[in-house]
Amino acid sequence: MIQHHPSIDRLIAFSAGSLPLSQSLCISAHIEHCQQCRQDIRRLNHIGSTLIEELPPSPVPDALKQAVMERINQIGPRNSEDTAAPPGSGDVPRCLRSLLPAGLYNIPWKRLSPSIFGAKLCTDVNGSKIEMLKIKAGGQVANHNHTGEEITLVLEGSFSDADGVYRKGDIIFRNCEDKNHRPIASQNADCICLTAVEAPIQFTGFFARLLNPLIRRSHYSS
Amino acid sequence: MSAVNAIIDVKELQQLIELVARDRDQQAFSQLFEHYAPLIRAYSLAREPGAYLVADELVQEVLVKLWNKAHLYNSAKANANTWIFTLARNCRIDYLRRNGRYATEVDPEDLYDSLEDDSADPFEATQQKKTAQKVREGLKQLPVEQSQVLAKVYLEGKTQQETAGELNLPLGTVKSRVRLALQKLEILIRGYGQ
Ligand SMILES: [Zn+2]
Repeated sequence: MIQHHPSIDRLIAFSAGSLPLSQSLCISAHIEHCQQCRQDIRRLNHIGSTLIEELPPSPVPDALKQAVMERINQIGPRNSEDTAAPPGSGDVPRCLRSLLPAGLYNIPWKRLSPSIFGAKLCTDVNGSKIEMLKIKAGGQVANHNHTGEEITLVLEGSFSDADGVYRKGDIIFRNCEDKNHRPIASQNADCICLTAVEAPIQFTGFFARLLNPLIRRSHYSS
Repeated sequence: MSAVNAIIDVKELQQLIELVARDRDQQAFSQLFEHYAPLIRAYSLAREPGAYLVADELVQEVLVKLWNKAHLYNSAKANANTWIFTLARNCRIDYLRRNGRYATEVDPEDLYDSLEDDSADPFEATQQKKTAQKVREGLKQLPVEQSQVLAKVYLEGKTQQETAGELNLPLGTVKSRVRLALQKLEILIRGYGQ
Protein backbone atom coordinates (compact mmCIF):
# COMPACT_ATOMS: atom_id res chain seq x y z
CA MET A 1 0.00 0.00 0.00
CA ILE A 2 1.44 3.33 -1.05
CA GLN A 3 1.69 5.77 1.86
CA HIS A 4 3.62 8.70 0.46
CA HIS A 5 2.10 10.77 -2.34
CA PRO A 6 2.97 14.07 -4.05
CA SER A 7 1.17 17.18 -2.78
CA ILE A 8 -1.88 18.40 -4.68
CA ASP A 9 0.18 21.40 -5.87
CA ARG A 10 2.58 19.07 -7.66
CA LEU A 11 -0.25 17.03 -9.13
CA ILE A 12 -1.78 20.23 -10.53
CA ALA A 13 1.51 21.31 -12.08
CA PHE A 14 1.94 17.81 -13.54
CA SER A 15 -1.58 17.91 -14.98
CA ALA A 16 -1.01 21.40 -16.40
CA GLY A 17 2.32 20.34 -17.91
CA SER A 18 4.39 22.96 -16.11
CA LEU A 19 6.64 20.76 -13.94
CA PRO A 20 10.32 20.41 -14.83
CA LEU A 21 11.24 17.04 -16.34
CA SER A 22 13.12 15.90 -13.23
CA GLN A 23 9.98 16.20 -11.11
CA SER A 24 7.65 14.96 -13.83
CA LEU A 25 9.62 11.73 -14.16
CA CYS A 26 9.32 10.94 -10.45
CA ILE A 27 5.63 11.81 -10.37
CA SER A 28 4.96 9.82 -13.52
CA ALA A 29 6.69 6.77 -12.01
CA HIS A 30 4.64 7.26 -8.84
CA ILE A 31 1.28 7.44 -10.57
CA GLU A 32 2.04 4.29 -12.49
CA HIS A 33 1.93 2.58 -9.08
CA CYS A 34 -0.77 4.76 -7.53
CA GLN A 35 -4.34 4.54 -8.69
CA GLN A 36 -5.43 7.28 -6.29
CA CYS A 37 -3.13 9.88 -7.83
CA ARG A 38 -4.00 8.76 -11.37
CA GLN A 39 -7.61 9.43 -10.53
CA ASP A 40 -6.76 12.87 -9.15
CA ILE A 41 -4.82 13.79 -12.27
CA ARG A 42 -7.64 12.71 -14.55
CA ARG A 43 -9.95 14.92 -12.47
CA LEU A 44 -7.51 17.81 -12.68
CA ASN A 45 -7.26 17.40 -16.45
CA HIS A 46 -10.90 18.49 -16.72
CA ILE A 47 -9.83 21.95 -15.49
CA GLY A 48 -7.45 22.31 -18.41
CA SER A 49 -9.99 21.15 -20.95
CA THR A 50 -12.78 23.36 -19.60
CA LEU A 51 -10.54 26.42 -19.52
CA ILE A 52 -9.54 25.83 -23.15
CA GLU A 53 -13.17 25.36 -24.22
CA GLU A 54 -13.99 28.74 -22.77
CA LEU A 55 -11.16 30.68 -24.36
CA PRO A 56 -12.19 33.21 -27.00
CA PRO A 57 -11.35 31.28 -30.21
CA SER A 58 -8.47 32.70 -32.25
CA PRO A 59 -9.29 32.64 -35.99
CA VAL A 60 -7.06 30.26 -37.92
CA PRO A 61 -5.60 31.29 -41.30
CA ASP A 62 -6.99 29.29 -44.26
CA ALA A 63 -3.49 28.34 -45.32
CA LEU A 64 -3.02 26.54 -42.03
CA LYS A 65 -6.02 24.33 -42.60
CA GLN A 66 -4.80 23.51 -46.10
CA ALA A 67 -1.38 22.62 -44.74
CA VAL A 68 -2.88 20.28 -42.15
CA MET A 69 -5.21 18.62 -44.70
CA GLU A 70 -2.21 18.05 -46.97
CA ARG A 71 -0.24 16.54 -44.15
CA ILE A 72 -2.94 14.05 -43.20
CA ASN A 73 -3.37 13.12 -46.86
CA GLN A 74 0.27 12.12 -46.98
CA ILE A 75 -0.02 9.98 -43.88
CA GLY A 76 -2.14 7.33 -45.59
CA PRO A 77 -3.41 4.24 -43.83
CA ARG A 78 -2.54 3.67 -40.25
CA ASN A 79 0.67 1.79 -39.62
CA SER A 80 1.17 -0.59 -36.76
CA GLU A 81 3.48 1.80 -34.90
CA ASP A 82 0.49 3.92 -34.01
CA THR A 83 -0.99 1.38 -31.65
CA ALA A 84 -0.66 1.83 -27.91
CA ALA A 85 2.88 1.91 -26.61
CA PRO A 86 4.19 -1.39 -25.21
CA PRO A 87 4.71 -1.68 -21.47
CA GLY A 88 8.25 -1.19 -20.19
CA SER A 89 10.56 -4.16 -19.88
CA GLY A 90 10.79 -5.74 -16.46
CA ASP A 91 9.52 -3.40 -13.79
CA VAL A 92 10.64 -0.21 -15.50
CA PRO A 93 8.00 2.52 -15.36
CA ARG A 94 6.91 3.60 -18.82
CA CYS A 95 8.41 7.07 -18.40
CA LEU A 96 11.87 5.49 -17.96
CA ARG A 97 11.64 3.13 -20.94
CA SER A 98 13.88 5.22 -23.16
CA LEU A 99 16.38 5.88 -20.36
CA LEU A 100 16.58 2.25 -19.15
CA PRO A 101 16.17 0.19 -22.32
CA ALA A 102 17.71 -2.95 -20.78
CA GLY A 103 15.31 -2.98 -17.84
CA LEU A 104 15.64 -2.59 -14.10
CA TYR A 105 17.88 -5.63 -13.62
CA ASN A 106 20.52 -4.80 -16.22
CA ILE A 107 21.50 -1.31 -15.15
CA PRO A 108 25.21 -0.50 -15.62
CA TRP A 109 25.74 0.38 -11.96
CA LYS A 110 28.77 2.32 -10.74
CA ARG A 111 29.95 1.40 -7.28
CA LEU A 112 29.91 4.46 -5.03
CA SER A 113 30.62 2.66 -1.76
CA PRO A 114 30.48 -0.99 -0.63
CA SER A 115 26.73 -0.77 -0.27
CA ILE A 116 25.68 2.05 -2.64
CA PHE A 117 25.52 1.90 -6.44
CA GLY A 118 24.43 4.65 -8.79
CA ALA A 119 23.63 5.10 -12.47
CA LYS A 120 23.15 8.53 -13.98
CA LEU A 121 20.17 8.83 -16.32
CA CYS A 122 20.11 12.45 -17.44
CA THR A 123 20.36 16.08 -16.39
CA ASP A 124 17.37 18.40 -16.63
CA VAL A 125 17.73 21.83 -18.25
CA ASN A 126 17.45 23.35 -14.76
CA GLY A 127 20.53 21.39 -13.64
CA SER A 128 18.70 18.73 -11.64
CA LYS A 129 20.38 15.34 -11.85
CA ILE A 130 18.30 12.26 -12.43
CA GLU A 131 19.92 9.04 -11.22
CA MET A 132 19.12 5.48 -10.34
CA LEU A 133 20.32 4.43 -6.92
CA LYS A 134 20.75 0.95 -5.48
CA ILE A 135 21.29 0.44 -1.75
CA LYS A 136 22.36 -3.12 -0.89
CA ALA A 137 20.14 -4.90 1.65
CA GLY A 138 20.91 -3.37 5.05
CA GLY A 139 23.17 -0.74 3.49
CA GLN A 140 23.12 2.87 4.54
CA VAL A 141 23.58 6.13 2.63
CA ALA A 142 26.05 8.50 4.31
CA ASN A 143 24.69 11.38 6.33
CA HIS A 144 23.93 14.21 3.99
CA ASN A 145 22.25 17.58 4.00
CA HIS A 146 20.55 18.92 0.94
CA THR A 147 21.23 22.29 -0.54
CA GLY A 148 18.39 21.71 -2.98
CA GLU A 149 15.41 19.41 -3.11
CA GLU A 150 15.82 15.68 -3.46
CA ILE A 151 12.97 13.52 -4.76
CA THR A 152 13.16 9.76 -4.28
CA LEU A 153 10.83 7.16 -5.70
CA VAL A 154 11.10 3.55 -4.53
CA LEU A 155 11.00 1.06 -7.42
CA GLU A 156 12.15 -2.13 -5.65
CA GLY A 157 12.63 -3.12 -2.01
CA SER A 158 12.24 -0.57 0.74
CA PHE A 159 14.23 1.84 2.87
CA SER A 160 13.70 3.82 6.01
CA ASP A 161 15.00 6.99 7.62
CA ALA A 162 14.30 8.82 10.86
CA ASP A 163 10.82 9.75 9.57
CA GLY A 164 9.44 6.43 8.35
CA VAL A 165 9.53 3.40 6.06
CA TYR A 166 9.19 3.78 2.29
CA ARG A 167 8.06 0.99 -0.01
CA LYS A 168 7.56 0.39 -3.71
CA GLY A 169 5.72 3.33 -5.27
CA ASP A 170 6.27 5.71 -2.35
CA ILE A 171 7.58 9.15 -3.28
CA ILE A 172 9.63 11.21 -0.83
CA PHE A 173 10.51 14.90 -1.01
CA ARG A 174 13.42 16.22 1.05
CA ASN A 175 14.82 19.73 1.15
CA CYS A 176 17.52 21.65 2.96
CA GLU A 177 15.46 21.86 6.12
CA ASP A 178 15.63 18.09 6.54
CA LYS A 179 18.78 17.71 8.60
CA ASN A 180 20.96 14.65 8.45
CA HIS A 181 18.77 12.58 6.25
CA ARG A 182 20.18 9.04 6.41
CA PRO A 183 18.30 6.36 4.45
CA ILE A 184 18.91 2.68 5.25
CA ALA A 185 17.73 -0.20 3.03
CA SER A 186 15.70 -3.01 4.58
CA GLN A 187 17.65 -6.13 5.58
CA ASN A 188 15.89 -8.55 3.27
CA ALA A 189 16.33 -7.00 -0.19
CA ASP A 190 18.29 -4.48 -2.22
CA CYS A 191 16.48 -1.19 -2.64
CA ILE A 192 16.32 0.42 -6.09
CA CYS A 193 15.18 4.04 -6.36
CA LEU A 194 14.77 6.75 -8.94
CA THR A 195 16.11 10.07 -7.64
CA ALA A 196 16.11 13.66 -8.82
CA VAL A 197 18.39 16.09 -7.01
CA GLU A 198 18.14 19.81 -7.55
CA ALA A 199 21.60 20.86 -6.44
CA PRO A 200 24.61 19.04 -4.99
CA ILE A 201 24.04 17.72 -1.51
CA GLN A 202 26.63 17.95 1.25
CA PHE A 203 27.89 15.12 3.37
CA THR A 204 28.35 15.87 7.04
CA GLY A 205 30.93 14.54 9.48
CA PHE A 206 34.69 15.00 9.42
CA PHE A 207 35.72 12.33 6.90
CA ALA A 208 32.77 12.96 4.69
CA ARG A 209 33.74 16.64 4.59
CA LEU A 210 37.15 15.66 3.31
CA LEU A 211 35.46 13.58 0.67
CA ASN A 212 33.04 16.22 -0.51
CA PRO A 213 35.17 17.62 -3.33
CA LEU A 214 35.76 14.11 -4.69
CA ILE A 215 32.21 12.95 -4.81
CA ARG A 216 30.48 15.60 -6.79
CA ARG A 217 30.10 13.05 -9.57
CA SER A 218 27.21 11.45 -7.78
CA HIS A 219 25.07 12.73 -4.98
CA TYR A 220 25.22 9.53 -3.02
CA SER A 221 28.87 8.45 -2.92
CA SER A 222 30.22 8.11 0.58
CA MET B 1 -22.48 28.84 -25.13
CA SER B 2 -24.94 27.32 -22.68
CA ALA B 3 -24.08 24.24 -20.66
CA VAL B 4 -26.74 22.21 -22.48
CA ASN B 5 -25.35 23.08 -25.90
CA ALA B 6 -21.85 22.33 -24.76
CA ILE B 7 -22.83 18.81 -23.74
CA ILE B 8 -24.43 18.13 -27.11
CA ASP B 9 -21.29 19.49 -28.71
CA VAL B 10 -19.09 17.10 -26.78
CA LYS B 11 -21.17 14.13 -27.94
CA GLU B 12 -21.00 15.29 -31.55
CA LEU B 13 -17.29 15.84 -31.27
CA GLN B 14 -16.87 12.33 -29.89
CA GLN B 15 -18.77 10.90 -32.86
CA LEU B 16 -16.59 12.88 -35.24
CA ILE B 17 -13.42 11.50 -33.62
CA GLU B 18 -14.85 7.99 -33.93
CA LEU B 19 -15.56 8.58 -37.64
CA VAL B 20 -11.96 9.68 -38.14
CA ALA B 21 -10.77 6.56 -36.34
CA ARG B 22 -13.01 4.11 -38.16
CA ASP B 23 -13.32 5.52 -41.67
CA ARG B 24 -10.45 7.98 -41.91
CA ASP B 25 -13.26 10.41 -42.66
CA GLN B 26 -11.75 13.70 -43.89
CA GLN B 27 -15.09 15.50 -43.71
CA ALA B 28 -15.37 14.66 -40.01
CA PHE B 29 -11.75 15.70 -39.53
CA SER B 30 -12.45 19.03 -41.22
CA GLN B 31 -15.28 19.69 -38.74
CA LEU B 32 -13.00 18.81 -35.83
CA PHE B 33 -10.43 21.22 -37.24
CA GLU B 34 -13.01 24.02 -37.41
CA HIS B 35 -13.93 23.46 -33.79
CA TYR B 36 -10.58 22.80 -32.13
CA ALA B 37 -7.98 24.71 -34.17
CA PRO B 38 -9.10 28.19 -32.97
CA LEU B 39 -9.16 26.97 -29.35
CA ILE B 40 -5.71 25.39 -29.55
CA ARG B 41 -4.41 28.55 -31.18
CA ALA B 42 -5.86 30.57 -28.29
CA TYR B 43 -4.30 28.14 -25.80
CA SER B 44 -0.87 28.72 -27.32
CA LEU B 45 -1.35 32.50 -27.46
CA ALA B 46 -2.32 32.51 -23.78
CA ARG B 47 1.18 31.30 -22.98
CA GLU B 48 3.03 33.40 -25.56
CA PRO B 49 0.91 36.37 -26.61
CA GLY B 50 1.72 37.52 -30.14
CA ALA B 51 3.66 34.35 -31.02
CA TYR B 52 1.45 33.43 -33.99
CA LEU B 53 3.95 31.15 -35.70
CA VAL B 54 4.34 29.11 -32.53
CA ALA B 55 0.56 28.96 -32.17
CA ASP B 56 0.10 27.76 -35.77
CA GLU B 57 2.77 25.13 -35.30
CA LEU B 58 1.00 23.85 -32.18
CA VAL B 59 -2.33 23.73 -34.05
CA GLN B 60 -0.69 21.61 -36.77
CA GLU B 61 0.97 19.23 -34.35
CA VAL B 62 -2.17 18.69 -32.26
CA LEU B 63 -4.47 18.18 -35.25
CA VAL B 64 -2.08 15.77 -36.98
CA LYS B 65 -1.84 13.88 -33.70
CA LEU B 66 -5.61 13.79 -33.49
CA TRP B 67 -5.66 12.18 -36.95
CA ASN B 68 -2.96 9.66 -36.02
CA LYS B 69 -4.29 8.74 -32.62
CA ALA B 70 -8.05 8.91 -33.11
CA HIS B 71 -8.28 5.09 -32.86
CA LEU B 72 -6.80 5.26 -29.35
CA TYR B 73 -9.57 7.59 -28.20
CA ASN B 74 -12.31 5.90 -26.21
CA SER B 75 -15.40 7.93 -25.41
CA ALA B 76 -16.20 5.69 -22.44
CA LYS B 77 -12.90 6.77 -20.86
CA ALA B 78 -12.60 10.49 -21.42
CA ASN B 79 -14.69 13.20 -22.95
CA ALA B 80 -13.47 14.54 -26.26
CA ASN B 81 -12.39 17.93 -24.88
CA THR B 82 -10.33 16.41 -22.11
CA TRP B 83 -8.64 14.10 -24.58
CA ILE B 84 -7.80 17.04 -26.86
CA PHE B 85 -6.47 18.99 -23.86
CA THR B 86 -4.04 16.16 -23.07
CA LEU B 87 -2.88 16.10 -26.71
CA ALA B 88 -2.39 19.87 -26.69
CA ARG B 89 -0.55 19.86 -23.36
CA ASN B 90 1.77 17.07 -24.51
CA CYS B 91 2.45 18.86 -27.80
CA ARG B 92 3.22 22.04 -25.85
CA ILE B 93 5.77 20.17 -23.71
CA ASP B 94 7.20 18.62 -26.86
CA TYR B 95 7.54 22.07 -28.44
CA LEU B 96 9.38 23.38 -25.34
CA ARG B 97 11.58 20.31 -25.45
CA ARG B 98 12.54 20.83 -29.09
CA ASN B 99 13.44 24.40 -28.22
CA GLY B 100 15.72 23.57 -25.33
CA ARG B 101 13.39 24.71 -22.60
CA TYR B 102 12.69 21.21 -21.39
CA ALA B 103 15.08 18.28 -21.13
CA THR B 104 15.13 16.18 -24.27
CA GLU B 105 15.54 12.64 -23.07
CA VAL B 106 11.93 11.70 -22.48
CA ASP B 107 8.92 11.73 -24.79
CA PRO B 108 6.12 13.65 -23.02
CA GLU B 109 3.66 10.94 -24.12
CA ASP B 110 5.56 8.47 -21.93
CA LEU B 111 5.04 10.69 -18.87
CA TYR B 112 1.26 10.55 -19.08
CA ASP B 113 0.81 7.09 -20.55
CA SER B 114 -0.19 5.30 -17.35
CA LEU B 115 -3.28 7.51 -16.97
CA GLU B 116 -4.91 5.22 -19.53
CA ASP B 117 -4.53 2.22 -17.22
CA ASP B 118 -7.90 2.29 -15.47
CA SER B 119 -10.01 2.37 -18.62
CA ALA B 120 -11.63 -0.96 -17.82
CA ASP B 121 -13.18 0.36 -14.60
CA PRO B 122 -16.78 1.48 -15.29
CA PHE B 123 -17.16 3.03 -11.82
CA GLU B 124 -14.16 5.25 -12.45
CA ALA B 125 -15.55 6.24 -15.87
CA THR B 126 -18.81 7.34 -14.24
CA GLN B 127 -16.94 9.30 -11.58
CA GLN B 128 -14.90 11.07 -14.23
CA LYS B 129 -18.02 12.04 -16.17
CA LYS B 130 -19.49 13.52 -13.00
CA THR B 131 -16.31 15.47 -12.32
CA ALA B 132 -16.17 16.76 -15.89
CA GLN B 133 -19.75 17.99 -15.54
CA LYS B 134 -19.07 19.53 -12.13
CA VAL B 135 -15.96 21.34 -13.38
CA ARG B 136 -17.81 22.65 -16.42
CA GLU B 137 -20.61 24.09 -14.28
CA GLY B 138 -18.45 25.11 -11.34
CA LEU B 139 -15.66 26.94 -13.15
CA LYS B 140 -18.00 29.71 -14.31
CA GLN B 141 -19.17 30.29 -10.76
CA LEU B 142 -15.75 30.58 -9.16
CA PRO B 143 -14.73 34.01 -7.88
CA VAL B 144 -12.49 35.66 -10.49
CA GLU B 145 -9.52 35.61 -8.10
CA GLN B 146 -9.71 31.80 -8.05
CA SER B 147 -10.33 31.14 -11.74
CA GLN B 148 -7.57 33.63 -12.61
CA VAL B 149 -5.04 31.55 -10.69
CA LEU B 150 -6.16 28.34 -12.42
CA ALA B 151 -5.90 30.06 -15.82
CA LYS B 152 -2.33 31.17 -15.07
CA VAL B 153 -1.35 27.62 -14.21
CA TYR B 154 -3.23 25.72 -16.94
CA LEU B 155 -3.27 28.13 -19.86
CA GLU B 156 -0.17 30.25 -19.34
CA GLY B 157 1.86 27.34 -17.98
CA LYS B 158 3.00 29.31 -14.92
CA THR B 159 4.19 27.77 -11.68
CA GLN B 160 2.37 28.83 -8.52
CA GLN B 161 5.49 30.78 -7.56
CA GLU B 162 5.45 32.67 -10.89
CA THR B 163 1.72 33.25 -10.51
CA ALA B 164 2.28 34.77 -7.06
CA GLY B 165 5.00 37.04 -8.48
CA GLU B 166 2.85 38.27 -11.35
CA LEU B 167 -0.19 38.93 -9.21
CA ASN B 168 1.89 40.47 -6.44
CA LEU B 169 0.57 38.03 -3.89
CA PRO B 170 2.23 35.87 -1.25
CA LEU B 171 2.69 32.25 -2.42
CA GLY B 172 0.45 31.09 0.44
CA THR B 173 -2.45 33.13 -0.92
CA VAL B 174 -2.10 31.56 -4.36
CA LYS B 175 -2.01 28.09 -2.83
CA SER B 176 -5.10 28.70 -0.73
CA ARG B 177 -7.01 30.10 -3.74
CA VAL B 178 -6.15 26.95 -5.67
CA ARG B 179 -7.35 24.78 -2.79
CA LEU B 180 -10.62 26.67 -2.43
CA ALA B 181 -11.23 26.32 -6.16
CA LEU B 182 -10.53 22.59 -6.09
CA GLN B 183 -12.91 22.15 -3.18
CA LYS B 184 -15.69 23.96 -4.99
CA LEU B 185 -15.11 21.93 -8.14
CA GLU B 186 -15.20 18.79 -5.97
CA ILE B 187 -11.80 17.72 -7.21
CA LEU B 188 -10.20 17.86 -3.80
CA ILE B 189 -11.85 14.90 -2.17
CA ARG B 190 -9.29 13.15 -0.03
CA GLY B 191 -7.25 15.02 2.54
CA TYR B 192 -3.95 16.58 1.55
CA GLY B 193 -1.40 17.22 4.25
CA GLN B 194 0.81 19.75 2.53
ZN1 LIG C 1 -0.22 8.64 -5.06
